[in-house]
Amino acid sequence: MTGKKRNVIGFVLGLALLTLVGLISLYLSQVFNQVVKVNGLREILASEVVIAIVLGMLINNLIIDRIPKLAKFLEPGLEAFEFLLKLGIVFLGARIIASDLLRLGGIGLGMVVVEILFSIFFVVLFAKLFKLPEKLGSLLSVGVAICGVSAIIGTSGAIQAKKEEANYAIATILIFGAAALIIYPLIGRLLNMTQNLFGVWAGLAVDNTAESLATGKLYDQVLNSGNDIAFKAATIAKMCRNALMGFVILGFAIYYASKGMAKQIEHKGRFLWQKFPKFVLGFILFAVIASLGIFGPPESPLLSSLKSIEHWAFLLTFAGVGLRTRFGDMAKTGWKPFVVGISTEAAVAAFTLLMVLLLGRFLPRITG
Amino acid sequence: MGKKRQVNNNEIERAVDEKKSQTLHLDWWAFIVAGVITALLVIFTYTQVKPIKATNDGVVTKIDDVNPDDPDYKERKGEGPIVFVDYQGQSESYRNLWPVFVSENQKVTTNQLIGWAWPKKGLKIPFKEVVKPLLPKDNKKPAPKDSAIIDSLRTGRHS
Repeated sequence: MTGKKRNVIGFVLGLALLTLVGLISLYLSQVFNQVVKVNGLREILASEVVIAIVLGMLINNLIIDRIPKLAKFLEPGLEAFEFLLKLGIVFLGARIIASDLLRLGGIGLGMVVVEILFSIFFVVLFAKLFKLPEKLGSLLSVGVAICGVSAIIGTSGAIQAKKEEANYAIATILIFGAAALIIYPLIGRLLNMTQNLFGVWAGLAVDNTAESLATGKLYDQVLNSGNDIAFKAATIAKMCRNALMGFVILGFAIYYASKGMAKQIEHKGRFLWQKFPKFVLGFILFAVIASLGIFGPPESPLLSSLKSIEHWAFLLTFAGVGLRTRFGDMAKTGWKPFVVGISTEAAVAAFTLLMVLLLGRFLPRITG
Repeated sequence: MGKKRQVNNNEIERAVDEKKSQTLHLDWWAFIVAGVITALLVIFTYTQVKPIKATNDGVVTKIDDVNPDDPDYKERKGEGPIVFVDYQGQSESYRNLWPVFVSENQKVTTNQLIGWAWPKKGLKIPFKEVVKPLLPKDNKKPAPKDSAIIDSLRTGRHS
C-alpha cells in the first residue's frame, strides 16, 4: 500500500472512529438521562460532552496508544477534529448576537491582555526559579497565556526552540487542559457561579481552544440549563485570546532575535497576519450576518440546520479531545516542567477567577 | 553538540513549517466549507420564503411578536411575528414573518411589501396559506377582535 493511499484510508477510518464515538455518546446520553434518577449525578453522566471525552480517553489509552502502528495509521483522521473545531466555531457565530460579541469582546479583550501579561510574567518567573531552559519557559508561557498547542507550535518556529522543548511544553499543556475539564466545573459549582461568569473564566484560563469550549459546554450541561450561555461566553473570551496570539509570538521573536538566538522578523505586518487565526474572522462574520436577520428569526429552519451541523462538529471535536489525551504523556514531561506547569496553571486559574468575580458586574450577559 | 543542535533545529523548522501550512489550510478551509454549506442552505431556504404584499389599501392593526412573557412562548419560539392588516373592514393575518417591513397603525398600499413569510416545521397553518380572510366578502358580520384571531392562530382552531 502506498503512503498516500494509507493516509487516505487512515483518514477515513479515523474520522469514522470520531463519528462512532459521537454517536455512542449521544445514545448513552439518552440512556443515562432516563436511567439515572439522582439529580446532579444525572446531569454529569448524561452530558454528551463528558461521555464523548471519557469514551475517547478510554479507547485511546486502552487500545490505540498501546499499538503504535494503529495510532500512526489513524492519526490523519483523528486530527480532523481540529478542522471540525474551527468549523464549529464559525457556525457558532450564527448563534451569537453581534452586540453581545461587541460588548463582551470589548471587555474580554481588556481582560485577556491582563491575563496574558500575568501568565507570561508568572511562567517566566517560575521557569527561572526551577532553572528550566529559557526557551522552554517561553513556550510554556505562551501555551498557558494564549492558545495551548497552536501558540506553542507558532512560537517554537519563531524563536527556534528545540523539538524536545516544544514537545515538553505541548504535553504539559494538554495534560492541564484535560484536568481543567474536571476541575473547573467543580469549582464553578462550589462557588455557585453563573453560566456567564463561568464561561468567561473558562475562556480566559483553560489553555486549548477545544478544552476551553468543552469546559463551558460541560458547565451548561451540568447545570441542565437548556441553553449555551457558558459555552458562548467561553468561545468569545477564547477567541479574544486567540486573536492576540500573533502579537505575543512576535514579542518573543523580537526578544530572542535581539539576543541573537533567533532570526529577525522582517515583515512584522505579514507575520501578524500569518499568525492570526482566520476562523475567528469567520466567527465574527457569521455573528454579523445572523444579527442582520439574513438567517431568519431565532430557531428558523436555516438556523436550526446550522445549529445541527455545529452540534455535530463540536461533538466530534470533544470525542477528538478524548482520543488525543494520553495519560502516558505525564511521564514524558519530566517533573520540572510539570511542577512549573501545575504552579502556573493554578496561579492563572486563581488570578483569572478573581478578575472575573471582581469585574463580574460589568460583564454583559450573553443571550442564551 | 553543535551539529546535533543544528539537526534539531532543522527538524523543528520542518515540523513547524508543515504544521503551520496545515493550520493555515485548516483555518481557510473551515471558513470556506462553512461559507459554502451556509450559502447552499440560504439559497435553499430563500427559495421557500414567500414575500407577503398588501392585497389592497389598508392599515396594519397589530403586530403580535413573540416574547418570553407570552404563555405560548415555548410553542411559538422560533417564529416571526403575526401581522394583522385591515383592508377597509376585511382583516387578514400573515404568520411567521421575518423581517417585517411595516409597523403598527401604518397605512399600506396595494402590493406594498409587508414582510417575508418563513416556512416552519410543524407550523399548523402551512405558510403558503398565511393569508387568512377573516370576514366574508359581504362584510356583514363584525370583525373579530385581534385577541380572538391570535388565539385561533396559536391553537390552530379556526371557526
